[in-house]
Amino acid sequence: VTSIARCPSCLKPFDALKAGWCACVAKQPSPVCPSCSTCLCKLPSAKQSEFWINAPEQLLRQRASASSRRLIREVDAGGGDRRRVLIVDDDESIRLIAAFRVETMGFDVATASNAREALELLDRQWFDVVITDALMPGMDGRDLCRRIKNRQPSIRVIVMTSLYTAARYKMEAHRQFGADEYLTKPIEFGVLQRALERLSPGQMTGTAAAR
Amino acid sequence: MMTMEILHARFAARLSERLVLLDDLLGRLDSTRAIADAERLFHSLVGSGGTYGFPEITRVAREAEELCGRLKRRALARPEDIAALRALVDRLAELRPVTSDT
Repeated sequence: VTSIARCPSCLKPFDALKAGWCACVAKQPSPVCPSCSTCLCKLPSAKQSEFWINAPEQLLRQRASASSRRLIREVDAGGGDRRRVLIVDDDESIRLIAAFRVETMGFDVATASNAREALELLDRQWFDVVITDALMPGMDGRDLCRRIKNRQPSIRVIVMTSLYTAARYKMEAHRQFGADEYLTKPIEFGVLQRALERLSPGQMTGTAAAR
Repeated sequence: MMTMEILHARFAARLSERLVLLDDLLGRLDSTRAIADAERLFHSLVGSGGTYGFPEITRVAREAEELCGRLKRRALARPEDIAALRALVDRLAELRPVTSDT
């Protein structure tokens, strides 16, 4: 994993995490070389793929957020009161795609890779909805749900787990952990969007999510 | 590159890494710890496969996860169990999404 990119023009290496973002590809920004202002969009496609496959999660999240914000601005000009969602999952692949898809629904999104990190974020920031995986190493999503409901009962919590364990946990989630919604993995984003709309009424989701 | 293309390419790359790890684990599936590690990797693919639009990856990974669960309960992996898991890993390798970079 590396955020060091090589400029396609001047060939100097630079840290993409500290670079600015280009605007030359409307919805898909890339880091800009601080030396000569050439962006990574100018790299051959295979080189771009190689860079993004190995880029740190933080950089990919920054790009996806910039991309989805531009998409939403285009559809819902004027913005609105964007609700905040925290996604908690120990699987980076799930965090990345869920964050991108939920952002394109019009929410502000933060991610955490475990329950402890999520609780630290919840101490510092407000979230309207927490979406958490049920099964994670250390404190699992059900305990996280219980803690959130004890501390901040107005935060809505969606617990997700695989179909294999779904039947067993479905009742437990409501009875013991206080989850507001219970969804299965693999994630069906249409189902997740409807759940978010139910739990967070007034959110401007518009047509951005349908794209 | 579109963001979804990048996410799919990363998913394919991470799947390859996990299959290498699983291949290694299946060569030393002689402890409940190793079986649990394999189960956890398969479990992760159950969730991510379908989420990325590959339901067959979810189906095969779930079959492997369930088999690991049974092996963990009896704390024993027989040669035929390992062969069955290896066949499922091979199947997952065949299902690996093809991207411009993979």
